[in-house]
Amino acid sequence: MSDPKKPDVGAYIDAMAQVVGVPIDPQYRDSVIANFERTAQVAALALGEELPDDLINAPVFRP
Amino acid sequence: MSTIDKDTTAAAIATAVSTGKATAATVVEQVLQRIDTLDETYNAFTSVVAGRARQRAAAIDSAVAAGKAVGPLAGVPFAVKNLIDIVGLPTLAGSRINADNPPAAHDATLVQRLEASGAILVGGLNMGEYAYDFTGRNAHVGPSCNPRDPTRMTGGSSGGSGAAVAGGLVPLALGSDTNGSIRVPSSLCGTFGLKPTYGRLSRAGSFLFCDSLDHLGPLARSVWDLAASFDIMQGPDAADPVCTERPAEPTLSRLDEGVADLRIAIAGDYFERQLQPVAAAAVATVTKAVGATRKVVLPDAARARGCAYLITAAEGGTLHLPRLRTRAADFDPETRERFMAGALTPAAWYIQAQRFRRQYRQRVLEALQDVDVLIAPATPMTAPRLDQIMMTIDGVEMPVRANLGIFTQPISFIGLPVVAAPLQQPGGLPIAVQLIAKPFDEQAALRVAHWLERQGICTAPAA
Repeated sequence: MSDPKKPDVGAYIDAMAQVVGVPIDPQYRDSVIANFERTAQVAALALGEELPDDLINAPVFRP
Repeated sequence: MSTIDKDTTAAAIATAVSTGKATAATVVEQVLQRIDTLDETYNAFTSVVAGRARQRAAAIDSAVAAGKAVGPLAGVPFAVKNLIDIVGLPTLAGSRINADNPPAAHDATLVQRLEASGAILVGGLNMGEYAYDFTGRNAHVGPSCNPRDPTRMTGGSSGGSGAAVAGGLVPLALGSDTNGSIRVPSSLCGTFGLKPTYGRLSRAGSFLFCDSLDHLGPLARSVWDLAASFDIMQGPDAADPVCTERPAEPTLSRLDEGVADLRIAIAGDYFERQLQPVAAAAVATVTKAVGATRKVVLPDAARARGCAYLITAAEGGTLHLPRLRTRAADFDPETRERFMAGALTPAAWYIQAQRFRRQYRQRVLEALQDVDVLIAPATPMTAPRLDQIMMTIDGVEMPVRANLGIFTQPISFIGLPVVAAPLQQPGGLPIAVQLIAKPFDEQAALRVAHWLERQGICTAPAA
């Protein structure tokens, strides 16, 4: 039985791949999911702390 | 000087050619011969531009004979990671897909600047596909192999650059570094490498990977060669919107100033964990030599590494969307699914990572307020076997590919300049330390590296 608290990454990948327009061949799907899950773990660790509203990023684009 | 051997530095070649003791033509022929003989083993080169190099050499020799100025790198052969444009060749960036692109119409800015100083381009170098790599492996053309032990990785993604310099094929090569791709090969192959400040050197005419984090820089077997080439490549370039408008700040003239006036510290906490004893010993050797005792902790280094990972995944995946849509089967299996997953990264993660980058930069600069150079490990271990997937550190098994850059990522994330300075291990494989300076203060890191080189502590002889 799947963990109800754990997001269904496979469903996210299938939906987003369609939205973004990247067809993912079934032979690559499991590996894409595994890679995305790794990214999600990194995001949970790296972005766990809230950032202040006035912290903007530092774009280098100069009009 | 009639023979240029594999250990001859760029400095020695330039002196010999400009004073008429050697001809550029002879230098080029010897280098082409060495590539022909040794590259079957190292697999560093993906293209050799012999005709162009011979023409350039003839022009330099004519100029010397006529008493004309020939530039500070006269006759110095160099090669570039194959994501850097070479006129007349498609810019492969380690891929099969880009081979179908039209040939580059111009040389990249840095190639133009090096050649304007008398250097001679001899070819393009192997790399991990689209620079998404720390290993030097490439499914299309095979891995670049480490000249210290060809059964071992060069490190990536500038693996061909590390192999070409460490193997004595050329004295100077250019690489790119997004998360460690100059510093990791420098460490595993035992060469000096300079990742300059983000924005210091123009990236115009190169096939980028992750614009927010991409740098170009040199690898060489001496610090003089690093500094000389760096000085020549500096300067504004409107063709790269990230390139600084600061005037060039020469470093070569300052190399001999020594280290007595520099405040040198050791990176603590994060940089003392998850490394094998050989990496810790390298840091300890350098620390003792320079007499550093102060430890400085860079706050949130683990978060910084994570955010660098997120930005890389999102920007890299997005860049390759058109190719992922139409040519997925032609990607290297080691990058394809990572790029696909990266292209689907939520914008919220990416934007938060970018915002954190600014906060981290501020905190690190505060931590480095009274420090000129910070010493840290470059890689957690020496070169793994070519087929090695896992490594053990502190009793914990972890994937090699993802973790070779554990100590480089938190530094390039905020664009600090770093010299990778290698220590050769008698009977063993080399490993480098990072000498990290504050933004646009490359001279401080280069001075420490040069001092360590003169003490015989950090050296990069050809294999």
